Amino acid sequence: MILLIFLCAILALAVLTTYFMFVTSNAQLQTNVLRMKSSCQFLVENAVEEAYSRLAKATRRPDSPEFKWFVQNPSSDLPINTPLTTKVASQVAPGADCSITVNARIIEKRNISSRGKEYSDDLEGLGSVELNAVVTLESRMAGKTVRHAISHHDFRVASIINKRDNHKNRERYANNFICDYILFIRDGVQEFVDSDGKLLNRAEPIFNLHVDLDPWKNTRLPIEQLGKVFFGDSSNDGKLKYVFLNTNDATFKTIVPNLGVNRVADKAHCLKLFPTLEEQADKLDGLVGYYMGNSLPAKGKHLLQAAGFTPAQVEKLQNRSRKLAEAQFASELEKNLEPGMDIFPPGAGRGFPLEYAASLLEGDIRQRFFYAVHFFLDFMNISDQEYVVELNNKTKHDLDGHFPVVEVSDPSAMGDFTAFYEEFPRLDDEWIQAGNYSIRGKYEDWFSLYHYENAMAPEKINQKYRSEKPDILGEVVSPAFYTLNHEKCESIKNTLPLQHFELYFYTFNNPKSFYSSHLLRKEGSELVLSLNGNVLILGNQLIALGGPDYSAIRIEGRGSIVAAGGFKILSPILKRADFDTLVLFAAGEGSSISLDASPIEAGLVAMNKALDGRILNTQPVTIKGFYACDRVLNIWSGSDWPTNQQIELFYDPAFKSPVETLYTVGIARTPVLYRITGGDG
Amino acid sequence: MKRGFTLIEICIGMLLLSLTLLGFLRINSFASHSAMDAYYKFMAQQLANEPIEVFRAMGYERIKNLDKKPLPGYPIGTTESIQEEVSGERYPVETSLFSRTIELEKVEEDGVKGFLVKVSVFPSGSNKISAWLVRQMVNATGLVIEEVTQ
Repeated sequence: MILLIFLCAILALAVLTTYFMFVTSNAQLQTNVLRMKSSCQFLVENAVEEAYSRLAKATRRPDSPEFKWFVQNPSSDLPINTPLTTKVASQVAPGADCSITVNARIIEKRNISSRGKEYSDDLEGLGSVELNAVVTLESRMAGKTVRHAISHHDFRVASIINKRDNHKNRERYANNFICDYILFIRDGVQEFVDSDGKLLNRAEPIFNLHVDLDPWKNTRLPIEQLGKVFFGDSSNDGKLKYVFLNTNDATFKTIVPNLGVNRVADKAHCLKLFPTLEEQADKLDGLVGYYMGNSLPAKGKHLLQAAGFTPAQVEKLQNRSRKLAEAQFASELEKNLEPGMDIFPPGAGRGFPLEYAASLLEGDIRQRFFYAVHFFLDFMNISDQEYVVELNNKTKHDLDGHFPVVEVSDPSAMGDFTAFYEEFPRLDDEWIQAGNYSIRGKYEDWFSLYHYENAMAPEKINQKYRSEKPDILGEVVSPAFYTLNHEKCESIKNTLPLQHFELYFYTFNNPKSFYSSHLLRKEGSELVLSLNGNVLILGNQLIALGGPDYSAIRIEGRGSIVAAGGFKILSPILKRADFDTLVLFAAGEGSSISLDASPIEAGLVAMNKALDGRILNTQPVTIKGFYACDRVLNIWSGSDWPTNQQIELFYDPAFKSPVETLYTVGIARTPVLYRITGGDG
Repeated sequence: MKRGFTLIEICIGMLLLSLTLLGFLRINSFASHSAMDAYYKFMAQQLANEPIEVFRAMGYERIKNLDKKPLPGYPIGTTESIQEEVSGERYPVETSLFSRTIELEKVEEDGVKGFLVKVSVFPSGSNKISAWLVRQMVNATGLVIEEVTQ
């Protein structure tokens, strides 16, 4: 019995010991399994994080497959490699066989905003993307462990440059329509009037436009990538209003039509004009008169000198031209004869093709030039040269004998020429009725490279010129602007860029949070501004960028910054890559962009509902981008524009895409759903 | 009359019994050791995982600046005993018997950067943990990937 009990005790002890052994072995195994699961969990989390980072980085490059995948919104999944996670897997889970896969899938995408507004493009929109990671670890000690991680992120596809063919109008609102223009002055017509024309016609122009010059390569820009020029009229009163540019030596041959009035007057015609010559009519066989018309710049010199005029003659002619303008245009406004701003400067070796100019000028800009017609009598074929000497004394020798000129506008030419002045208008009328251009010299201001057909800028163009030069006028492009509802604006006042707030903006509550954000970082002596889309800074404070601590503000990526309080730029703004673009938009009433540094490689916009947005510069500045404001100056008085503060304005071709719309893709870092599930094999 | 056990039989029986009991004792001792090893290994694993989780939670940008703004309780590149209380947080009592080394290594693959966090946990000198642990060091490796904000 005792033995039996003893044996039972031994047996029980054996069982307990074996069980204890089993339990502890199991504990060891569980420790290994837990360790494996923990590693698997780390890896799957890393895989999702790396996939997000890789996707977010890749979508900053418009040429990447990931970027195209987002924009095109395909139904197929996008596999994402996670080399970093794969690389460290062997260290995280030594001895285990590891497999990592990550796929991205677009769950949904919508192109109507929460306010019910359609975006300007079908490919724009908001959506959710799912990152799905699966990590499998398998080892002899711990078996097989699988972890799935699912992470959902909001994303947006926003157009940063909407495609624009310069020869065609837009058909709906585009968030970035302002990027089409190198120079856009929303209330430019009224400002031109308020400034007595000095906005555009000054001895030292405010803007030196370089419309067709690549500012970095110093080569001609592709025609389809040129910026437009627009002067708007905010009054919407239906009246015809224009801005006039006085042509000058440099531009007039490029811009102004060669009217080329050359008419030969026979002896009978000449005698009608000069009846006193009839007494010796028999001696005047061979007498010929010539009307010679020329388009001349308002205040040019070298063209006249090149035509053989001496400086003294040029001065005389220009004085007459001034008197002519004063007689013809009584208002103070029209007296301004300084050469105008060059929209299409010919430059060295360059000549701007007018057929493209027509599609670039969207504002109602007209060229004003002096149209001078000279009449002179040619005595060369008169055989009696003694009588020629007498004739020369009878006729007026103007311009120091260069050739005899009779001018209708000069009262001092009366006297012997009374009959001329009586007869000439009648002959001119006949001439015009016969379908020819007038032979009366005058200031012309009708010449425009285009015409309009909407209420903002009614059509007015010389019909004759249009019929003569249809190739130059080409297809007419009317300025067309739209509201957020894609309805055509009747007034330029009713449109502003960057209105899709709910879609486009990465928002900061105040400037402080912007300054300390991931968008700005110091790199050497430069302040790097890294953009991917549009940024809105709330509040009315002025945003200062740069300063004495920075040699430059370096731009990475594409996008804009909108601030109601405006901007103060304290360091030059430089782009990192050709396709990088920055637009600074001072959007609040009374706000401005103040430029204290140069160059500025950015588009500048100062516009608001009160129409008083301005861009100020305290020194000469070079802008390589574009310039858009409500007004250049709010009030023109006295000295008007400060001296020595010229703006060299180049258009950045990165702001124009004639064929395809350029987008940015932004993926929210914070997931809206995050779940890890797992199972053991 | 009952016949009892001879002395030899008793000796043999006791020998067998002793051997059996010794075997049980040996197995028991091994199991106990294994249990304590698993327990302390688990504890060490948690202590090794902890900085990885903390660093991942803090993010890449913060980790970049650890040399300028070190985190109390998580020294980089040095070996320190684990304090039972760090910034008000209490660890289990026996954790103070462990030491921990945290190392950071910058890694980059195809333009995505990260920090490899390598943590080693081991007994602080000769103590009961070192007596129980079979392998004297537990390692863990984690990855902190850079954040890309849009």
